Amino acid sequence: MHQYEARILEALKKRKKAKASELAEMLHMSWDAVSRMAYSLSRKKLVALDKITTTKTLLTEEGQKVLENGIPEKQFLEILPKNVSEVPPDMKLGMNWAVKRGWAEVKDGRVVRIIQTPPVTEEERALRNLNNLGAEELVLLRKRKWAYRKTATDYVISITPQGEEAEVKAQTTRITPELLLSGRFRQTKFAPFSPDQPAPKRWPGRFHPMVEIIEKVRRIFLELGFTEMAGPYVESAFWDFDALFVPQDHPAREMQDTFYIDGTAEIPKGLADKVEKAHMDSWGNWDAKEAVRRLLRTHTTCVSARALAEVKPPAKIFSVDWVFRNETVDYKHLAEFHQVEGIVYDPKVNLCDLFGLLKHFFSKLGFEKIRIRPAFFPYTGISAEVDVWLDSKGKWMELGGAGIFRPEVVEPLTGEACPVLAWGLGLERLAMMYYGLDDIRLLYNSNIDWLRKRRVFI
Amino acid sequence: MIVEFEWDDLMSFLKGKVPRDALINAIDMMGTPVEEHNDEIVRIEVFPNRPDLLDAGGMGRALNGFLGFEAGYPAWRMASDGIKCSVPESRQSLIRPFLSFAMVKALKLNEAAVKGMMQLQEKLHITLGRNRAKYSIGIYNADMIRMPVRYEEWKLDDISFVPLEGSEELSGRQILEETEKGRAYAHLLPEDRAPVLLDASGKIISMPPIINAEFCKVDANTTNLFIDSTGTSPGTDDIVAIVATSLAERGGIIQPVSPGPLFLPKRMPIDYDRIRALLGLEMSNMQIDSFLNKMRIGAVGEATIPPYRIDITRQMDLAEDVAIAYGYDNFKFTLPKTKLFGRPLPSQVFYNEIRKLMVGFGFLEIRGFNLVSPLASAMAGGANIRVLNAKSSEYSVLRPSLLPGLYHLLLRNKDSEYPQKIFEIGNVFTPEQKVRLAGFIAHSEAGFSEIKGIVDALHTMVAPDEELKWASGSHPMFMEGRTAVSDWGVYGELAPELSQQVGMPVAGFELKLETDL
Repeated sequence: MHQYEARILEALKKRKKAKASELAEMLHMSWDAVSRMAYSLSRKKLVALDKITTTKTLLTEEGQKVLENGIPEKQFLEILPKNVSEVPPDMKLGMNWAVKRGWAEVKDGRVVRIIQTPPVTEEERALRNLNNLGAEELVLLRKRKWAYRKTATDYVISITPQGEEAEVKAQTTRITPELLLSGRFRQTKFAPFSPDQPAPKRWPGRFHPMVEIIEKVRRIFLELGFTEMAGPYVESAFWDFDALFVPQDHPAREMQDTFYIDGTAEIPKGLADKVEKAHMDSWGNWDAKEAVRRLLRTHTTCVSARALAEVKPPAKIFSVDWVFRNETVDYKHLAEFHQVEGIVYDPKVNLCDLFGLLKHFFSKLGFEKIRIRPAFFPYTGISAEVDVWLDSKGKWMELGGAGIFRPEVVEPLTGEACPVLAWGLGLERLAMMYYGLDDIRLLYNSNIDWLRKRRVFI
Repeated sequence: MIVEFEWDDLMSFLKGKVPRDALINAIDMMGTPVEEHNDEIVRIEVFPNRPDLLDAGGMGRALNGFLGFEAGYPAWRMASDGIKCSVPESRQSLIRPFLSFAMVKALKLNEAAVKGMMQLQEKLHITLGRNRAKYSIGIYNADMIRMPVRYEEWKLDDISFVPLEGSEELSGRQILEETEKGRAYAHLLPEDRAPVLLDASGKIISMPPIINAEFCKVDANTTNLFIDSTGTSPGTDDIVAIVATSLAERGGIIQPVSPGPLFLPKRMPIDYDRIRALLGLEMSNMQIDSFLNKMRIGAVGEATIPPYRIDITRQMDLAEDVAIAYGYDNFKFTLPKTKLFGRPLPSQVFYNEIRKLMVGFGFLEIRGFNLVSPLASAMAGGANIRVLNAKSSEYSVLRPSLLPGLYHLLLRNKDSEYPQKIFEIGNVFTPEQKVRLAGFIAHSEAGFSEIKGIVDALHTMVAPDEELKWASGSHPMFMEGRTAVSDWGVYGELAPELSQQVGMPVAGFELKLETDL
């Protein structure tokens, strides 16, 4: 008999029956270990097991936040904007509830407070009283997705008549150095193990799934002879837009698409003059004030622009990193995601080389069949989009953009007219496909179980 | 920008027969992806460089070339009776200092054509027009208007006319306050004045960039059109040229009006060698000419570019048209001849080594967002760089530390088996962008000494020669008396108020990861 079995049987001789959770606490053992031992005792008919399930109420992530920060309708009352148009998107829900409760009113686009001090709501009471919820209170919390029920398993372990009579004698389970060195293992009776016996779960440390994809892409680029570069996340509009010939009144530069940050950035004077000239010649306007604004870079193309201003041809450069867009986050949009971009800066290259590189690159990513279509980007003069064929879905999927940089981009940065091939893609799309995800948020809002159990990445 | 055409309307422009499948493929390969189609309609994405394809007329014209039904510079019927519209002398001070006009006569319109015209106008307003701030367009029934038209600026209260779709006269102020279009675009005008276009009899035909008058509205029976574009930047000639040439595809006669486009081609020399070099294709000058012809560009040593092709300014733009006409799917795949060896960033190599060590310790890697909520950012103290315009406060501050994100991950994963060991390598903003390594262990025995063991081992492996003095210290997230700090970072046991929320003892660390530690 295992020594833990012995301890459990001993305890049961006094108490006759107990829950595994109670025994775990009493004997300072893990619940896992107690159930495992109880199971083994039951196979010897020394105890009887009765599985019981209990349900308890737990807070969802949203519920946890509400408990910490207050219910959305009260949060809304605290900031109470004057007009509906000023309500931040994440406060809309709070506004709707405040109106529904008659705490505030919306008239002609204006928000009016109706009561000064909102009362304590049923939901708030319920949140603080999770362990003794009535059925109606539970419905309230579940409706607002603040709480969920979780079922837990426990065992009632009761001693059998055989168990009462059994002699409690601990059998040796562990082979110790002392047993080995002394040779006493020859006289020792070891408790047998059965593969049916439950064992504690083991999980290794692992790389993050996104890191595995990034590493794969980095390896492909390095194999193709590209050198890695990086740039800052907080970038100037100059490098993110102006140097790439994106006109200053282009819609992508507006606040609703790009994250801006207070303060101004340094921009390289000599280059700025040349970029200004390119803009003035084509768009007829350019303002340095617009170029020095600070923002969170919207693509890795600004790293390519910085590289062009630094290196001499021939050069092959790539970068892979975070980029930012002012998006409302949902199952298929993120406010930040990863992009990879490669450029070939070499007077001898041409469009056939770009298409060949695309073919090669995407086949290394596992897409043997690709289709290249004409497209448009503000910074490429010859532009293409790459579709990959998905056998599993029987359709084409758009996966990357490519092109040859416009002379208005290359000439100011390098001082010469030289072809620069470029292509890039967003990596999250790839990740969703490789890992079969329906909700892109899972990648970062991670569930530890998923990170532990996900299939190996090849 | 997605445009929608009726198949019947689009096909009416084609000068030859082509099966539906081949037509869809041609539209795709011309650089205008087909997004959706059914028996009646087709929805096509048109990129902002080709506003001439926003209308079925322009699309049909391009397809005729691409499919080989027509070639070269497109022909329009032109007429002229020298209409001169009047514009104030000193234009700089005007609300909309740039303006252009044109007429298209003897047109046969139908319902689809009117719908298409409105779509063209709306899409141009959004794209090139920057929501009418830069350019706006008006199209009128020319038979209701006495030429010439003049531009003036009036006090809002002096303006009075029946606006489009209205039934009674409204003042300029009422139009801005009471009509849908008025409210949407009032911000483009000064407080008390607005531009008006008047015909020769003094009738207001429109108040740009807001709305036209009802009396000169276009419908399926209209045969003669008057077109205006007013704007705050040069380029209104291009806008009018795009609109007039698209409409003229319905058989109309274009009649230039002053001020306005002359509908003459832009001429550009063709650098054949440069085009061949860019594309990597062996082709004769004549072949290049014929590919340009396929894109409706006249080409004999020199390119004659239609006035609606505002995107062509460089040899590379010609080269792109040649490539599209040649067919992207006909290119051969080659690789650059220059041999170069790739090099990873030394810092990335270093981070990957650290990553391997952490995984070796049994830690699960986490990757969190750089943008966090103000609450999460405040948890660990430090800098607080807010973005000015976040859509959601959840993602509005650049994180000054990796610890709050990892902590919240523990909170969200209370259902997963313990022990839990997690780590992250990521950027923080202090306010400078820096790389950090942070981790947490959570299990019933987690504590100071386990985390100290890990930090010490990392020190041994990463920078054995560096002297490091760890001293007792404090940190907003760690427990007083069980926290060690040094130049390298911090480690210790999580403050009990925080680990209470986890329901498990937690210990953790955050270390600087600059390569030169």
